[in-house]
Amino acid sequence: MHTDAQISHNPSSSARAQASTPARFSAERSTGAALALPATVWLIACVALPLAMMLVYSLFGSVRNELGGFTLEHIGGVIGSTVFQQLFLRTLLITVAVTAISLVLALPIAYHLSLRSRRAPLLLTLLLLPYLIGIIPRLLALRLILGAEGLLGSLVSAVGLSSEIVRPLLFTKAGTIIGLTYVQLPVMIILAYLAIERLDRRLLDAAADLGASSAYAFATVVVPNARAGLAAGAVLVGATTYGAYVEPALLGGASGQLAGNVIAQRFVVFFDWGRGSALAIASLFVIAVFGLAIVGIARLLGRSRVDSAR
Amino acid sequence: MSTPRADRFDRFSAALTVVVFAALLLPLVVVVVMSFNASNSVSWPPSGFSLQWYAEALDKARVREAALNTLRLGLTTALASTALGTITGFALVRYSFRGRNLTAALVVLPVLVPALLLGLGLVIVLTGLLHLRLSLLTLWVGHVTFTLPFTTLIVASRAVSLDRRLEDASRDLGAGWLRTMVQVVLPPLLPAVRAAFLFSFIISMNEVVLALFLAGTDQTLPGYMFGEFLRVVTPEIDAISTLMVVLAVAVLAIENVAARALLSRREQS
Repeated sequence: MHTDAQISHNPSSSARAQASTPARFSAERSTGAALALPATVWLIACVALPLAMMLVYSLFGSVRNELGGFTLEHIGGVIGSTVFQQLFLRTLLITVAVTAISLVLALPIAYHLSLRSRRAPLLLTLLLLPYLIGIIPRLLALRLILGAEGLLGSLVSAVGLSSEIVRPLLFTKAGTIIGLTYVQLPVMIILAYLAIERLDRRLLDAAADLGASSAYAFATVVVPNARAGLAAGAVLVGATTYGAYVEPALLGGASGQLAGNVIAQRFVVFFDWGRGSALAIASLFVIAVFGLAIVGIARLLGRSRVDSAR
Repeated sequence: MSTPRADRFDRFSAALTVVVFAALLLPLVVVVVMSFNASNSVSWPPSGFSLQWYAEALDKARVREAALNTLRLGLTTALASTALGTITGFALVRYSFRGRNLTAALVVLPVLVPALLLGLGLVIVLTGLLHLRLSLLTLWVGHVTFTLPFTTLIVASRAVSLDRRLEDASRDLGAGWLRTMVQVVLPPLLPAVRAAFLFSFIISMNEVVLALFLAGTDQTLPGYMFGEFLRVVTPEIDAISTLMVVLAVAVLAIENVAARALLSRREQS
């Protein structure tokens, strides 16, 4: 149960402390608990309690955001409504698309950065630049680049095509997908880089000596060995995407609105905490299932290959 | 460490890296270029050079107030989140105690729960349970919560390499717990503490989802820009965001100078 605690300790000195002075060891335990207490209390109050209150409101929410008797009206109204079913399905499909596109683009880039590039530190610093400039101006620039009156439109008309053909890229589902992928891709690249960078280089040398092409080594050595970190990245990107609000609000138009936009509307416009909370809880449920599915896929991937790390 | 000859896949991944990095960074260039646009529409290409959007942005009382709010929020968020994250990150790595797994699980939770749902849940707790009015204070609560995983993990990743024997030596030589913490444990952690401070400041400064739902009428710059984006888009947004980058770089520089001054003073004493 305490295995991970012991791994992160300096094992020899930890053992010494236990063996020589048990009294001091128990004093250390209470010191650790005391130091961790403020953050634990803060996170219970500001993360666990808000989520618990959403569950409470989805089951007991009444008019004017008061709590009333137990009701299945909100949960039933979410599960039974074809409008909400379609909304959740659309959000899930877009989440899968954004996660898959990010992963497919990030994998070769992370491979290049961690194993084949000498300029990785500089390039990773460049990846942090978008965080310095914030999400809204970046989405505005994207709108400027992709728009019919923008950079892409003028390029398209310069080669003699109608600039109208780029119009479906904005204020549609495509706009939502492009905006979300653009925002999530740096995260995915950094996490994939961290996962791949740990690889024992000798495995790649061995694969090359045995005649494997880089592509074959990438598929059979690099990706399977990094699967835990890659799965963590995919879960993180997927969870963030499913709960996205800003990208669909600014680039998605009417057809590209996601679950987050509808949940926010319930809370802020309709002041309907009951139905809004039910939608939020249902979203968290979908996110959890999505995360478990990713972890399951990563496990299957590990089972079908020879685990070359051991 | 032999580097095998680059084959087709290696060249493909190198080319993909160049293309994707260019695509990721192009919008940043566009933002800065557009902020000097002379025309009042955000269409490409910009027409002429002008500083009018900077003047216009700084002329608005709402923008100046939002800028002040953003700065106050960023600094107080970074202070609280870094203090909390430092002791938590250190405790998680250094000690084993009852409830350690609970704390470790809670720390990653704000990353896995989308910011929108975290924010709306906080609206219920802060206004429904505690009857607070939404303001910069309630947004501060949200931002400390949102940045705590990052500050904790940054400090924890550094605390892993602390040498415990130095602490034991300090205690054996008669230093108390607090003195050991301040003089032996904290100095090697300082680079991580500084990184945590800057990282949480920059996250808070640019954060928009919590800012939209938890700030009430106290607007921050990202909240103001979101409204402008939906209402009428002018290069003013580009001018404001360019100014925000300048502000972020200034904070990085000031922090750097201050840290150097403090460190050299400590070495002298």
